[in-house]
Amino acid sequence: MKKLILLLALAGMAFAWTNDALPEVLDAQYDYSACNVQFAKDFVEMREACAETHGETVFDSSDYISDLDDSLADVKDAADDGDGLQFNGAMWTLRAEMLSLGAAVVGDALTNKSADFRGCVLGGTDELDDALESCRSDAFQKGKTAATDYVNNELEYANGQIDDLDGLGADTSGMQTVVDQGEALVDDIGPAFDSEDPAEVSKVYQRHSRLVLLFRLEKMVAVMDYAEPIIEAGSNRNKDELLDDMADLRGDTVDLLDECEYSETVGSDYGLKNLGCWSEGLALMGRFNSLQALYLGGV
Amino acid sequence: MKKILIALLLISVLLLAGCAKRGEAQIQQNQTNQSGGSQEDQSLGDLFNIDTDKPAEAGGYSVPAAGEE
Repeated sequence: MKKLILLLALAGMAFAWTNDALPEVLDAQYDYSACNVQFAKDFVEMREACAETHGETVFDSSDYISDLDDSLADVKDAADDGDGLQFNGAMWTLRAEMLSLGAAVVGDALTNKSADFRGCVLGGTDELDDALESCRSDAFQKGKTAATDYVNNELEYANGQIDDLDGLGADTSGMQTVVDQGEALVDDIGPAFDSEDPAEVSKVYQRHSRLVLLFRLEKMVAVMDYAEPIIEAGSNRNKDELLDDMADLRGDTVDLLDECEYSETVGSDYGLKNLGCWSEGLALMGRFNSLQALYLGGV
Repeated sequence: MKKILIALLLISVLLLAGCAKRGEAQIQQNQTNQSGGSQEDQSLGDLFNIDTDKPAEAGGYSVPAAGEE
């Protein structure tokens, strides 16, 4: 019977909630990256045409372009699959290859080139810039819709979790505060994407990341506060260990909630802070989830 | 004597049957209790389950356009 319960619990964990708007979000980011890759390819091609016209030699870009095409295809596959982890990995590779091509272009430009060649490249770049801006603008609009859907889905899911715990009589005020902050964030998504500034978009993402973490930490506290008196009054064989672990975990979770307090203002260290908060938060989540096995093992 | 033996045998059989029935009823009761308790335990146990996946990041918007510089 216990094995069956554990299996049921594990099965429940395996079918964790997924955000239906994730592929849409990743696809918008893919579009933005595809704009940049297309610009890079067109730029290199235009530069090579200028070199031919003005009798210059430029570096061979064929391997760079081939790598970029392959990496962009990987990004697209990951976006279509809605696989965030694979997407981030493919995007990391693509970013490194774009930087590598950029460095090769800059390095080549620093070698002796005629004024006519330089003028040709500058003239051709203006046209490409317009195409890049237009392409990015479309990607930002797509990203705005996707990000709004994504956060709204999360808010709906979060409200469902609050309702469930409310129904049990748990104190969900901390979770509700984070949801309220999330609703305020939704209002800022549109202006951030409309600014067509990647830095502004990044700020919205960073605030969102912090809120997701804080909601989960608040939920952990709500669950532990609810479960503690029930376990105390019960006869679980792991009762003492459970109560000790929960007390330790609750203290650490409240400390992290303080340390990672939410702010709508995103400074230069916000991203780094998120990284640290998530690192510690994931460790706490692991401890929290391990309570399930300890609890069911003592039934 | 024979009648006494038969009577004792009958009593023993009846006693054994009674014990078996009580035992069965007890097992059923235990199973019911266990089933009810397990459902509550399962519900409480289910609460110790938090998502550990990280949300979407903005990585795609930090890819530079080589040549733009």
